[in-house]
Amino acid sequence: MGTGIVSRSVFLTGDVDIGITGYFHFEVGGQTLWITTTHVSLLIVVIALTVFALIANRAIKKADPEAVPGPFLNFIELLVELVDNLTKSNMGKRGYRFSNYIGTLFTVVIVCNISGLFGLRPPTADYGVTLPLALITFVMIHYNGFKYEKAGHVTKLFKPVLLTPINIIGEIATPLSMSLRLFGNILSGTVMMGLLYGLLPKLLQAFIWPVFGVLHVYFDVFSGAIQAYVFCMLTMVFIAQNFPEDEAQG
Amino acid sequence: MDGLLTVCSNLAFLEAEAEPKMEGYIFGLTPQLLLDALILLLAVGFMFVLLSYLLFNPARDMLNKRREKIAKEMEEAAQERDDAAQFKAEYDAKLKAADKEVEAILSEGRKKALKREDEIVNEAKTEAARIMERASREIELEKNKMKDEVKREMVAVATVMAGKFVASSLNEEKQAQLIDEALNEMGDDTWRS
Repeated sequence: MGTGIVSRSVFLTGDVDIGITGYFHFEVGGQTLWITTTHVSLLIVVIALTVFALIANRAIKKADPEAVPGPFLNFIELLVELVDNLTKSNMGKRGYRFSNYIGTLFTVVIVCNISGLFGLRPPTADYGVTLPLALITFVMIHYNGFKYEKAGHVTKLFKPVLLTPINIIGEIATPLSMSLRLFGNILSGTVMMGLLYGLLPKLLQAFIWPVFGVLHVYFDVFSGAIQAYVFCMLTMVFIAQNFPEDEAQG
Repeated sequence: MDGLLTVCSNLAFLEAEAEPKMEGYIFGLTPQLLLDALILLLAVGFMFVLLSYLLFNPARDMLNKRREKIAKEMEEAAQERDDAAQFKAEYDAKLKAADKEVEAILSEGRKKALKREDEIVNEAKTEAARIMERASREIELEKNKMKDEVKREMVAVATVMAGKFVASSLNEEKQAQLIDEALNEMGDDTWRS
C-alpha cells in the first residue's frame, strides 16, 4: 500500500479498527490495488437497494389504482414526491430532469451513511467514495454551465479580473469542500463510535448500551441524514446556478 | 496513559510496508483512490439506472396516473354537481308547477263536487217530488178505492136492508109481478149480445 494516513488496530486496544482493511490485492500497471471494506460495504448497500427497488417495483405493479395504498406504497410515494418537490423547489422547472439522479444520490448516500447501524463500515467514510460523488456534481455543474451559458461560463471567471484567481479556486473548491464535508462528518462519527467501542471495557458497554444507542442515532442516523441532505442540496443549488435567471426558480 | 499517547502520536502514521498489506487505512491520494472512484462511479451509475427503471419512473407514472384520475374524478364530480343542481332547479320548478296543477285539479274537483252535489240534491229533490206525487196519487187512489168500498158496503147494506125490507113486505104475487116487469123492461135485446 502506498503513502496514506493509517490507523492501526493496535492503537485501539486491539479490538476495533476504524480504518479500511484490504481483503485481497492485485497489480495494475505496477500499482497494488485492494478490494477493501469500502467495496464490500458498497456492494452490500447496492444489493440492499436493488432488493428494495425490486420489491418496490413489484408493489407498484401490483398496486390497485382503485384501492387505498398500503404503508410500503405510501413510503415509496413519499420518497419519490419528496425528491421531485425538492428538485422542483431548488432547481425550478428544469430540475425535474435531475430528479432521478438526485433521488439516486440521496438514497445511496443516506443508506451508506446509516450502514454503520448494521455493523458495516460506512462507505462514505472513505474519501474514495465521496470524492467521485463530488466530481460527478462538478461535471454536472460545468456541463450545464456550458450548455446554458456557452462561453460565458468561462468568461465569468474573469469578472472582475482581479478576482480571477479566487473565482478559479472557488470553482475547484466546490468538489473538494463537498467531498471533504461528507467524508469528514461520516468518518468522525465512525471514529467516535470506534473509540467508544474500543476503549470502553466490554462489561461497561453492556451496562450503558442505551448510551451507545443514542450515539448511534446521532452519529449514524441524524448526522448521516443531514449530510446526505446537505450533499444533495448543494448539488442541486450549484447545478441550478447555471440555469437561465427566469427558469432557475419556479 | 502511555498507551493513549501512543495512539495520538501514531494517528498520522505513514505506512510504508514492504509486503502488500492494508490495515487501518483511512485516507490517501494514491492509485487506490482511482480504483475506489471507478467502483463508486460504476455503483452509482448502476443504481441510477436501476432505481430510475424500477423505482422512480414507475412510482412517478403511478402518481401521475393517480393525479390524472383524481383530477378526472373531481371534474366529473363537479360536472355531476352542476347537473344535480340543474336537475334540482328543474325539479323545484316542476314541483312548483305540480303544486299549481294540484291546486288547479283540487279546485276543479271542488267545483265538480259542488256541481255534482247540486245535481244529486236536485235529483233527490226531483225523486222526492216524484215519490211524493206518486204517494199522493196512490193516496188518492186509495181514497177513491175506499170511497168505492164504502159505497159498495153501503150498497150491500142497503141491499141487505132492502132485502130484509122486501122480505118482510113482499108476497109471492108482488114478487112475480116485479119480476115480470123487470123482464119486460129489459126486453129481448138485452140477451142478444
